[in-house]
Amino acid sequence: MSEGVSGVGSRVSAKNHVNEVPTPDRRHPTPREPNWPMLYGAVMAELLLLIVIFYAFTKAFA
Amino acid sequence: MRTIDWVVLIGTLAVIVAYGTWKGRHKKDLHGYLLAGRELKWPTIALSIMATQASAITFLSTPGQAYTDGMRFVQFYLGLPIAMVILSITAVPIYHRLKIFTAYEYLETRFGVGTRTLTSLLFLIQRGLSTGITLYAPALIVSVILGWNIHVTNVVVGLLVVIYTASGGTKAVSRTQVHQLLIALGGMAIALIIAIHSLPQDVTLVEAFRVAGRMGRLNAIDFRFDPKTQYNFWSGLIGGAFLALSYFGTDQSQVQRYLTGSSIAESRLGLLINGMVKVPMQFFILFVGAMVFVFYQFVAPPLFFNTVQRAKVSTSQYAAEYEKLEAQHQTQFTEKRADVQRLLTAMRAHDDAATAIATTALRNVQERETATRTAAASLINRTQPGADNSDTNYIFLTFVIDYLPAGVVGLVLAAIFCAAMSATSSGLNSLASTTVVDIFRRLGKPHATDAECVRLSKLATIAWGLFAIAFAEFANRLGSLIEAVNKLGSLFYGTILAIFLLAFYTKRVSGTAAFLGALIGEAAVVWCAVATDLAWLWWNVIGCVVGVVAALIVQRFVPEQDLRASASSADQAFDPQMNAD
Repeated sequence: MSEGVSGVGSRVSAKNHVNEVPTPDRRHPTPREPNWPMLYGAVMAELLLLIVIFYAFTKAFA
Repeated sequence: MRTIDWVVLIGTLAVIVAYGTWKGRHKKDLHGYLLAGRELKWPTIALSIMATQASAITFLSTPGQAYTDGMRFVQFYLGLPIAMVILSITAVPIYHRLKIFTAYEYLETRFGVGTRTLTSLLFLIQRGLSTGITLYAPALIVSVILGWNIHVTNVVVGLLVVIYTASGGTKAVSRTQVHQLLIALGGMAIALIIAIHSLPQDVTLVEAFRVAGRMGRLNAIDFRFDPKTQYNFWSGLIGGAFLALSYFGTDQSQVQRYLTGSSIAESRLGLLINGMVKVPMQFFILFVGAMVFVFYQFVAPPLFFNTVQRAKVSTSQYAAEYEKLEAQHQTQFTEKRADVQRLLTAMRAHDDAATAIATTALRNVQERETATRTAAASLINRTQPGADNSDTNYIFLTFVIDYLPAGVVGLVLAAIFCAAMSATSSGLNSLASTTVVDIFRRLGKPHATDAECVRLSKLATIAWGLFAIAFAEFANRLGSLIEAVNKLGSLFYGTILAIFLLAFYTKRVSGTAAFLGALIGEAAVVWCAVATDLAWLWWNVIGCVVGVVAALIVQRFVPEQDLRASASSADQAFDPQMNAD
């Protein structure tokens, strides 16, 4: 997929003979892959936060 | 029920069934029928995963669990987010690359047809029975509250699910689940608002929390380690993680939900969103139960919530004894209400000593009230040996019927039916997939055409629907339903997880060793269930650990030829070039 994008950019540059910045093909945008380590970290951080909140909740009203 | 409730209930269910049938109306090949053409996006996958787990049992029994035992049941879900991360990293890429229909198909590439068939059969037994319990829950509602025949209700609800599940396949199941879950959560939110709104005018929300907390109903976290306690932080985090790993990673009813993703990223996101939303969602449902508990501190609850059993004991030879218990219960309630008022007054005055005295008095009367309720349950059991004397499942429902306004009762009942239908449809859909892909096409007719397989999948859906309806007839002997369904799963999940862990992470364990390891693991779980009083969440850990260790030991005695064949198939299964998207 990434080869396709740079290929489109190269053709545009050759045709116009100017140093344009290559742009992605709008008809087939590159799917943005999430930052997985960050997402996994977010899930674990949320769990930790929930445990702390639940514990505080238990203690506050016991 | 009033006319408006009937209109809301029947209207909602009719729309859902029609929508599911319409969504899945296009003619499909097996890929389209069982995997929705692998075109679903993460929001649908996430909601479908949640709706599959959250059955009517979740919405009926969980608030009752909070009413009788407090909110500590939420700890059961603490291991779930950990499992979602592990599965996103490991299982999802493997399943996607292999382009499989069922999780058990993968096991053949690793351990051979024997292990695949064993796990498929364990799944079919466990899921077939669980789907029966899932169907039973809404039937219970109608039979107890409206006096309908429970057998007829089981059949009607079961057939409604079968109609759109058999005709539309996985796509119909997943699309309807999105709406079903939203309706179910909406119904619970309205019930919570009304429960809080129905408290006496002078009681604030924080005071309601304090009353619930002082009476042990907001005990969400308990760090004490005790292997015999069902729900504490450690059993939830460790036992719950093993249970969730097995349920979401190896149970076809869940695996099939994320196999429908259009890419690995979509499936992963679906699982991770489930990991983030599930724990707060369960907390919310338990919180509804805790608020219903507070409501019943100001309004007298019945001694026994199950009206059918109550009526039976009132006309039996134990009627006089039951009446005596009712009078005792009424006196205790009056005493308790006075103690609650004393507690509120002391807290408003910031008088710590008076607060402590009122709390102790309140807990004492609560203990006596629990003893009276236990005596009533035992009386009911004497009236009708083997009768359902677990009252947990009826508490929330009684509150809904007695105190919610017209229209809202219909909506909450529709929410509960929607939840039952969504979980049942996933169950039937996955049972049909495993029957056709792992049993019929693998062992019976390997060259069956797509059209034959789709036709058989529809027939299998109908057949499993009938089986679930039949099993539902026995579900009334299983006590708290939310516990029963998870306990039943825990008998098998550890062993199945052991097989999958061996497949994912070891290359030098043969099919024979994995098969024997699984049998030894299962024997260990059965021994724990029959001969020990170990909390059932730990059965998942025992089955998994014993299964893995036993397989590793057995492997030492397996001939070298068998090992080489196994390692070779493991290499093929993990080869990214061979199975790339």
